[in-house]
Amino acid sequence: MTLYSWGPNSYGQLGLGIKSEQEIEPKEVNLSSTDLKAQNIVQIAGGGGHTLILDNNGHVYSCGLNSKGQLGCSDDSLKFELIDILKEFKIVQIACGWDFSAAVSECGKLFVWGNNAYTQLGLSKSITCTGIPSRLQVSQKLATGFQEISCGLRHMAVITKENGLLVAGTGSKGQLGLGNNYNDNNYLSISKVPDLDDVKSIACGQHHTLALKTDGTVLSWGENKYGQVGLSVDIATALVPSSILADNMLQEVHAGWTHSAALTNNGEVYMWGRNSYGQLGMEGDDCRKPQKMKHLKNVKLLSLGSEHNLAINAEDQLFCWGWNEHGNCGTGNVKNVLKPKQIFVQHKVKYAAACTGHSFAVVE
Amino acid sequence: MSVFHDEIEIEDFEYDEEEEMYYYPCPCGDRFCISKEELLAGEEIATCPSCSLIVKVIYDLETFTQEVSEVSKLGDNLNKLQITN
Repeated sequence: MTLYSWGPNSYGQLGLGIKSEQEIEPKEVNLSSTDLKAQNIVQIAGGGGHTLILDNNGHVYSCGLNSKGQLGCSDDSLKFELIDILKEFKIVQIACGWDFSAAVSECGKLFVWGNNAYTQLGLSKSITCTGIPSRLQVSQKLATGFQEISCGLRHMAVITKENGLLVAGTGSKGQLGLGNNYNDNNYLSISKVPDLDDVKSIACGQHHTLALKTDGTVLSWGENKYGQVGLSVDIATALVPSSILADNMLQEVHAGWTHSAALTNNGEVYMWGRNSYGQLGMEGDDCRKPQKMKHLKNVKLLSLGSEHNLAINAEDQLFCWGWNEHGNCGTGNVKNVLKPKQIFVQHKVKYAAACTGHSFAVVE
Repeated sequence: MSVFHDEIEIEDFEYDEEEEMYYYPCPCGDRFCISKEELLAGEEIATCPSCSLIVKVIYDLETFTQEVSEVSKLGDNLNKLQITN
């Protein structure tokens, strides 16, 4: 198996050992300088200029821009390097915001690092950024542990062991779901979203947030300029969670910067929000109403980047669609992809991740 | 499709005091930027050095000019204080 990467590479976020404007054709990532093996990769996440990879040993590797300490290592790196400090914990999930990172361990510990200027790490305001992965500890009343985290541009949301939701970062566009009286300066750095329980999947967009409950209800809140929250665009921002979709087959929610998606356990994909670059994979304008994608069935993996998307179906075929100015979709050109298009046509694709503008795939 | 990728309020930009530049994340991973000087001259388009996307900066020129001059006065006064000390 081989790891490939493509798209913007101004900060070396593709892990190719070089910086370049962009790579419009997928390029093989050489991992020989590390213990990381392509077939062991479980998850890849990326921010504006950096990337994290998690393997099945629970180790986290990073590369790219380190301006705010988002790599969790001492220096910028053009190749993937192990984050030493996390080595003693078995990490099971990772997430990246614009210039910050987070990881959840098997026993439910949460680690955060990178930019904290908007208290998006949930750390005290006095810490502007940290290059050292730090364990985020909260009162037992808020959470006894953590399950899954998602990071937006300047905020994050994490599902607790009790299936509640904690949020941190800026709430200037309602993305924290804390209501009318919210003011960044008055709040603690981490808060619980009131009256929200049984959360099983979470996704943070640029300035909006989606939560899927175990009963199949999707709640969302935050900026709604393009209908990404799923409400009428007359509502510019939604300050509290509202229910926008219910389907008891729903398994996961996903968020791009200004578009949103939900995946069912039989492989159907709902999409809504902005469609100016083909983000929704269907014809038409921005659409606030969740619509099932007609051209894509049996999806087993879905990943949303800032303005592009990747999906793998049951036959291990990889599809891409959306914004493609930097070759984000890996089609070998820079024309926006308005309908899901298969890439790596001759190959089985085992895993794929759309980061901010850049992308990765593990190919057989 | 509108010409602008987005319209962003000046408060949402991050300001780099040394460079006197305002920055906002671009979906390509780079950042839209516009200088204080450009804003004072009434320019309202922030560009991304890596791609074709542009954003419109939402700000009030009068208020902005006033704030900039207040900040620079404050700086001058601070310098004077340091000199007298």
